[in-house]
Amino acid sequence: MSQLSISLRNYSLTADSTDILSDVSFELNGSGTVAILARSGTGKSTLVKSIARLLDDTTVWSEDGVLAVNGKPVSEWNRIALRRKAMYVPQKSVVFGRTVADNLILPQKLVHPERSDAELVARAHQAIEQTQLADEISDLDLPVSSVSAGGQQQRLALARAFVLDPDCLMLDEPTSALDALAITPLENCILEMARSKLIVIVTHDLILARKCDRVLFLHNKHDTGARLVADGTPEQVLFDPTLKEPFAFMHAR
Amino acid sequence: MFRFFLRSLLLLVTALPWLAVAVLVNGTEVDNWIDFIFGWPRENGTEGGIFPFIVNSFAIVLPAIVLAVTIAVPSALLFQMTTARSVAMRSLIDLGASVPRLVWGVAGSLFFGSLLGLGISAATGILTLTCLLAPILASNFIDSLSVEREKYLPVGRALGLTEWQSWTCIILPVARPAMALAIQAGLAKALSDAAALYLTAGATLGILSSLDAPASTLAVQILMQLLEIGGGGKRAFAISVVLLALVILIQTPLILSRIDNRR
Repeated sequence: MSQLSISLRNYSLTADSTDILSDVSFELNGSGTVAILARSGTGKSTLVKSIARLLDDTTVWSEDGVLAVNGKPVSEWNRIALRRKAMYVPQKSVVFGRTVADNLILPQKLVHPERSDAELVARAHQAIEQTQLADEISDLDLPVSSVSAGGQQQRLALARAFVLDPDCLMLDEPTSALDALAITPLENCILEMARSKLIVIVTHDLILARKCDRVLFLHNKHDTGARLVADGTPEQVLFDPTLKEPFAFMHAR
Repeated sequence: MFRFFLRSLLLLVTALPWLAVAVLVNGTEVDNWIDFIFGWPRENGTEGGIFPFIVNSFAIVLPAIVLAVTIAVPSALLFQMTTARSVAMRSLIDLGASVPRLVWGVAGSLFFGSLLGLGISAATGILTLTCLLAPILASNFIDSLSVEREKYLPVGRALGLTEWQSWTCIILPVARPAMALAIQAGLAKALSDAAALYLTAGATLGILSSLDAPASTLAVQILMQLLEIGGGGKRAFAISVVLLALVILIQTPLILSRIDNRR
């Protein structure tokens, strides 16, 4: 398993002349879990989308500073190769095709044509186990209509990313549609997976953030673009009263 | 303005059943339906059956549909995949879709018939019908793909699929049912076309023997009965009933799928 590094140095981003990110700098390397925390609408999702070059193409974006993956600026990457290495899983889960196999086998065939049929199926079943879908999905030929609940679709979308085995997974609110009983096993699965790859989690879920190795806290003061106001372990970021915004975020409820 | 619209709508709603009843009442005065459907025309088309016209209808319409789909699917995909999604290209397609059939007939007979030397023949009819159907289908396909594009293209991109893979492996299969319905509607439209085919494929009584020979479809026969054969009104109504039955038969899967979706 090759590992990935993401590097931002004084990175700023504007959308249609509105400041979204301002002077953000951090380095992510190797493996482990990194939570990106901020209030809604601060630009967390935009940040990870910009890493995978998935910004909405109807908006005029303007960037400044350095955003590099494996030492190479993302603008110089082949977008497809970049997205296969640093994969973004959107918050809104969309399943496609007619069957579960269309979601778990077909993308593998397209991204990893070298995999044998047996490997494709084995990886699909492994992802189903990892995402706690084994009780709902007994057969890969099951119609996707039978996996219709929001939480099920979110887990199927996660499984679809897992089977592709990227070096880095960027999960946007991965537990937002899950019930309490489904969250813990999935969190454990994500943490287990983070032993061998980098997992970036955009979340409001403070319980999940506290289980991560590292927390990045963004804050947008006076609409001048979100800045990175804290970077460290969950204890360092969320429980330090001198860090005003993260501390308030942690103790708001 | 609103009242005028309401009155027109009311008139249309009340007139439609009457029109259907008029066609059925006038058109069902056939002594023997088996002989009428499976028989050969006699007495210059004033007597006998209409079997050659049924065969000709499908022999002309089916290749035209296949050709039109072959042109329309890549056109719609190309349109959707190009980042510009040019207004000019879309306007051109929509213009092509709204050109009257008679104009297509004139253009087809001039271009394929005279310029390419195909004359009045089944080939000219098929090619003209293809030109008539392709923009209609392409316009429908573009709309079907647009609906799915917003939802599924970001997913394909996030998974690291190429644009081509996203379109052909995810979006196209999802849009296929809507596209199939558009093809069905196109088939029904093509079967009932008389104006363009009258000018390009001609009006004869025989069954289609080769692509360079003229061949008359059911819709063209209705036109011939009304225009060229004195007292052909009853026969025209009877052929209309057969054509209507064929169109309903083609539309049945569409109706059934809608009922199925409601359940």
